[in-house]
Amino acid sequence: MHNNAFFHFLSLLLFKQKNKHIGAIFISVIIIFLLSSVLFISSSLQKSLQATLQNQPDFTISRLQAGRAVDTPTEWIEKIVQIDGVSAVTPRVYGRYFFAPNENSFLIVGVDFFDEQSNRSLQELMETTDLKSFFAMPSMLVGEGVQKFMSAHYYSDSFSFKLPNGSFKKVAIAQQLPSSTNLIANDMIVMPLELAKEIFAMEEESITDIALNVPNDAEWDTIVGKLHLLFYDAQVIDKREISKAYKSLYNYKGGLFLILYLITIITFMLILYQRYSMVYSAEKKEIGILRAIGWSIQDILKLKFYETLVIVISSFILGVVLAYIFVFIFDAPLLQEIFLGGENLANSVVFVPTIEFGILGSLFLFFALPFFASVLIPVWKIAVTPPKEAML
Amino acid sequence: MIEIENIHKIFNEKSSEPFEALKSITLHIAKNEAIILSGVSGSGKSTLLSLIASLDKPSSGKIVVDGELISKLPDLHASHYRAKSIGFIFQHFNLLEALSVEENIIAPLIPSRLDIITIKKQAQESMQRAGIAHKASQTIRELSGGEKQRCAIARALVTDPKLIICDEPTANLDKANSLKFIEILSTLKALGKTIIVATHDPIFDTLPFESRLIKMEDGRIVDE
Amino acid sequence: MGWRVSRELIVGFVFLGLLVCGLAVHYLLYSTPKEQNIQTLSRLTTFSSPSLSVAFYEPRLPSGNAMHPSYPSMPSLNKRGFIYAQ
Ligand SMILES: Nc1ncnc2c1ncn2[C@@H]1O[C@H](COP(=O)(O)OP(=O)(O)OP(=O)(O)O)[C@@H](O)[C@H]1O
Ligand SMILES: [Mg+2]
Repeated sequence: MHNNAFFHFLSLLLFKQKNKHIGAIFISVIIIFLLSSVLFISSSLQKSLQATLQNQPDFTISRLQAGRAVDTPTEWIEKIVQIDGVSAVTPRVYGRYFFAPNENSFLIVGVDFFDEQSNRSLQELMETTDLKSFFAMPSMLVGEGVQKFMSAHYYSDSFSFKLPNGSFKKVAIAQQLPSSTNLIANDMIVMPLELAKEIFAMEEESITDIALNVPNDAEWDTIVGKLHLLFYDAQVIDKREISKAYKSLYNYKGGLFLILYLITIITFMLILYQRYSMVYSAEKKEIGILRAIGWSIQDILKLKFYETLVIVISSFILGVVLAYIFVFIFDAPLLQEIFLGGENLANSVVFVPTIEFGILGSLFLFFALPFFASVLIPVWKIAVTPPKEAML
Repeated sequence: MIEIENIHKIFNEKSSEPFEALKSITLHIAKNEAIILSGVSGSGKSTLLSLIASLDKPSSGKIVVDGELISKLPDLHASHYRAKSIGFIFQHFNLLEALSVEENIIAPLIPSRLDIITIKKQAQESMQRAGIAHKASQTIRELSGGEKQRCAIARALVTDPKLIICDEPTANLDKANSLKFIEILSTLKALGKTIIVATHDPIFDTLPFESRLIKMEDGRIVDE
Repeated sequence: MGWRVSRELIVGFVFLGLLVCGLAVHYLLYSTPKEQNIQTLSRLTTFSSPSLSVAFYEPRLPSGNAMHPSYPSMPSLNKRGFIYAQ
């Protein structure tokens, strides 16, 4: 145990001179905390969104006229079904309903509840809902944000939609969607397909778009070609594009993040500079003394290396753990709003714990390497000068 | 034991105003001898001591201690030499202010790779010899000048060095403490240590032990 | 007495170790029924666009309108108007 004495002395120096380190640790913890909170939030959102994509249709097709999306005729469905290799062709009705006074908007999604699969999903989602009464009168399921908004406007059990022809349609609020679905459902209203069509005043023979699956990946491009041949005015959206869009949403390599990095890098540089000059003045004497009583340059570097290692590791761990608790246990109050935005309906989501170890590892390197450099370089410079000079 | 042959020390050698602090010093010191280096301020006493202790390198000439050419040692060996053979007592004590007496005293032994129990035992012995054992866990900041001095002595003794070097050891002490210091020196001499003291304190003119007085002036030895 | 401070260091690291362990346990044991709800809903609606009011589709077009990535047919997020105006 020849290192015993060394680590004993190391901890002596660390704890007896903690004032020297406390500032650097504190700021490092804050920086690590901020960066890893942001990384945690973005990777958690990414993961959740990518997971929901699994249930998404491979393609959606809708009609485009003069660059404007218009209703898609139902007769397209029959034509699409006839293409080989296409399955699960489903009509979809959805759109935004704007609540005029506040310019808030809801996403109304029509669902065909007579479909067996949808019915099962509905039951799974709404353990308590009485399905009979749900279908007995016009009813809807609303997301948490919608529910809050409506009750703030005194619509606690039903809401009257204003139809394009000026009349009102009263729809009962059957239940609120679970808050764990807030990420996609905060501003969502789920209602029977026919009801949605009525609210949007869509004609009998039209829908918003058509979803379809192409189980064989290799055929994807040919199918797109065929669809375009079939309908000259069609716009086809591919699931891969959506996936790409989700990836660039909260991409840690761009946008908001770059600004954040810039700020933290500048702060970090300032601390390191401060540390660098502090090492120079304050530690000059200490190093000189140790050198004079027989410590070699190596011994000094070893001491300072371990000292820095302890500081770097403990502030990194503290920062990451605090960020984890903040994001995944307290669901990142304050920071959440930056990511979700509160312009339309205030949202609050539950973050599913996601740790991307690769990014965390590089964060550690980006933090630790400059830190070590800013301590060890001046230490080395002091240590190589004759101890006599360092001491005076 | 120590042979100093014709050494020169030039500060700022490469600058436009080089300063020659030591000029052709030749000195032989036998084992268990006590040397009192005296001279006015700026005469080069401290510089000479730091060369003997290998805290700095001479510009030319050689210093041999116990057959070892210390004026040309690479750092690792120089540090080892300092740790093993030299006990240095500095004018300004040069203690680590944040640590306690005991913690300061174990510092020279840390690179030795001894285990902490042995180190503590050695520290205890040397604190007893320097008369500071009763303040072992007190922080340096809270000590008086005399106690700091004794702590510095204990630190110098902890490695059981052959050579004790003191630079103005009594400059910051009152008369009583200075006499106590001289007492400690005489016990060290009795233990067979070689002692070099740089001073201009007249108290060293009358010593209870045999000593050799060397006078320095302007970087030269003028009188033996 | 000598070991006291050393022990502080050990205690410090044990504390950090416990933090990391706690985090690992939470991470590994986190139950996913919450996730399943989202899955069920997206299966039901075949719709998974994030309910965010941030303009997130990096607008590369000079018009600067934030487009909904998955459903470009919808009005852009930074523009308001009755849906049935179309
Ligand atoms: N690092 C240095 N760079 C330049 N000049 C130096 C350096 N160290 C010492 N000197 C000069 O060398 C001369 C001798 O210095 P030294 O410290 O040896 O004197 P001293 O005899 O110990 O004086 P004192 O009794 O005041 O301690 C002084 O003139 C001093 O200015
Ligand atoms: Mg001097």
